Amino acid sequence: MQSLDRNRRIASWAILIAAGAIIWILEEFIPRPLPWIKPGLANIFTLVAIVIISPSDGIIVSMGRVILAGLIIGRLGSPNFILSLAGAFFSSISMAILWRIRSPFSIYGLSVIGSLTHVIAQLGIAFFLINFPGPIWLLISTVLLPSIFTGILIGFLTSRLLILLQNSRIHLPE
Amino acid sequence: MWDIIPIFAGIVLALLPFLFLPEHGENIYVVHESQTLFSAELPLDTTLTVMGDCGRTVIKIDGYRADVLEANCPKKLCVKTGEISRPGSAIICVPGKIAVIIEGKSDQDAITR
Repeated sequence: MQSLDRNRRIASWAILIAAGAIIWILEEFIPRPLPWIKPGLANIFTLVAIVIISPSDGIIVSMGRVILAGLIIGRLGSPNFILSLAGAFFSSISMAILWRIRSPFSIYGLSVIGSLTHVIAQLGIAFFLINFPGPIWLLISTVLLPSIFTGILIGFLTSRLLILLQNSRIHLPE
Repeated sequence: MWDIIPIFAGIVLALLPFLFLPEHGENIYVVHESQTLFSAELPLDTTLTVMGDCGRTVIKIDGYRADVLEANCPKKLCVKTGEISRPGSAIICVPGKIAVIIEGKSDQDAITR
């Protein structure tokens, strides 16, 4: 890999991680009906990284965003942070693998799978971390149904952003 | 459109827990204020008459179902509630301070004293 390409790649990480962290923090201020329902707009940048750079860069951007946002709002190491990290890790890995093997899913399918694995990973970790009392499986429907809608929303926004990027004069790393 | 598959799978997964909901409870309690007037294991066939703050309340227990048949309270919301059978459900008469509660196996801490 040439030096210029490497620098471009690192610069793209920086932009996508910073954008993801900012939108992730701003999202915290949006009032929400249930504490665990969140649009997950930062996932847009994970998907963009997977599509325009490479699948492994998507995982790096996703993890970097969670760590940076955790540093900024001072939540690094808290249970909440561990949940975010686990969700980001599993969702980005599943989306990256699906993109790498050229699955027939479009951005929408990828995004829905990402948000589903995100909440399933979080529920699983929460189950082992705090030993949630009572039937945790009843929570699944309140968590999974909204995540399908946010997944579709993120898929829509990502496909719009990718079209904008393709039409712009921004030189993308290849 | 392959994208239907994850959406559909998510919906199916989300609705799956409802298939495993227990159909009936294990225990029934009749509570007045903080006192348990009656408690028994289900199924059971009996008719109870308890005295609440507005007088006589007639409760029918038929197998796994419970129903308040008569009450002297003004609005009779407990009578209109109808039958209950699911674990965790309850018929509550607010003016009479009477509650009929059905519990499942896992929620022993639903009544705390």
